[in-house]
Amino acid sequence: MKKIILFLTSALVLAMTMLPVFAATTVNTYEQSILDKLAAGVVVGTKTVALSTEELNIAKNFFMMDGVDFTQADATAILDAIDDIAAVIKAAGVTDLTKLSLDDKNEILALAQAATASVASISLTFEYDVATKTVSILSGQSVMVQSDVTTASTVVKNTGMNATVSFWMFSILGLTMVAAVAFAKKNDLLVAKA
Amino acid sequence: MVAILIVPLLFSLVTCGLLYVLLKPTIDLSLSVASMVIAENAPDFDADLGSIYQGKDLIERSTVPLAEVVIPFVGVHYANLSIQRIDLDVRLYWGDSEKILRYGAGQYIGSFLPGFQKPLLIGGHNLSVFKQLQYVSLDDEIVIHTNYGEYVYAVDEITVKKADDPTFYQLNQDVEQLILYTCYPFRILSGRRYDRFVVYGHRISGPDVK
Repeated sequence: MKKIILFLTSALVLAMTMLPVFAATTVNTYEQSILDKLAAGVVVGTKTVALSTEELNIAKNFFMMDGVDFTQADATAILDAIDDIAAVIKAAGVTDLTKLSLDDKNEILALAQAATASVASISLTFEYDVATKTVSILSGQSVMVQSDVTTASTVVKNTGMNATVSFWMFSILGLTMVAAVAFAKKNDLLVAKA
Repeated sequence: MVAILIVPLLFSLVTCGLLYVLLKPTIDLSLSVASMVIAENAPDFDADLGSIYQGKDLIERSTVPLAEVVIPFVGVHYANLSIQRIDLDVRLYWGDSEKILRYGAGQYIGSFLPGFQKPLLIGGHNLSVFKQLQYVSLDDEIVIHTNYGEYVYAVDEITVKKADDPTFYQLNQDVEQLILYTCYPFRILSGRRYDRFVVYGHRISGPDVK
């Protein structure tokens, strides 16, 4: 009997250690419903405002992360928030989200934060960094999603250092100093030491 | 009192501020390079960014289960990218913020990990991480070594494009296209800031994630 229990315990422990701790997961049907809604967007006048392909990919990658497995209740909360956000955008009548008023942006931010906090299957926070104009979804201190929302939201980043401006500024400064010294000398403005 | 103390002080502060603004790009670069040769200890690139990359030897297989793949958190070193012929061997991070790009190559999180039969978009700085990229040739092999598979891509196009060129990338295609990019030209006094040196590749080996 003891041997059987020992064997079963060992097998169970072995099975647990073989399971990947942080494994990617498929996008379940509830998460897919959120992706579909984000892809559909909101109609403002004759135009549709929706997330870009890249932003939808970010959402898809997020849903495949370990620990992200939305339930029906989670999805319902998010879908309701998307509807509320869509209503704000419709009421504002803008098709370029960067042109929303500050009040509208704050309202959308509050809705997004509340929706993120309402997800029960995983503890998430939604943050907006004013300085870098970046939105982030975090699990604890780990950043799961991060995207900038500037006017020129760029997929292709600046990956070079350009010192041209510094070079020209220094050159102008240098020339100005030389000219100042030359002018001072010519007009006997420099005072000799006694 | 004003003439003796405050005016010179004010002038000094303004000058220091101006010098800081003008010199910052040069100082940052110089300190970054200097820290590699005069530091007492080896630089710890993982001080601020985490790593899940194990660098293990992997068995060859045609597929890998999704459960073996970890979608990293933003800012995590998850793979190594190398092009042996041009001595390029860099860390690959998930995410491409300014901070991440100071440490290695950064992958845009709106693209996909290797093995998903979807595009990968990876950037790196032209004077450091991707400096060697200027010597790449057609048919060179780019290797991305992850914890779950080794992926090899063959270079099939090398070009220069504007950063906002609509043909730069197509991240919704169902093709595993590798796109590496860096600022162009490869010099410090570039003048132009909107060109990118872009290398496109297609996958020639590595397991599909199922």
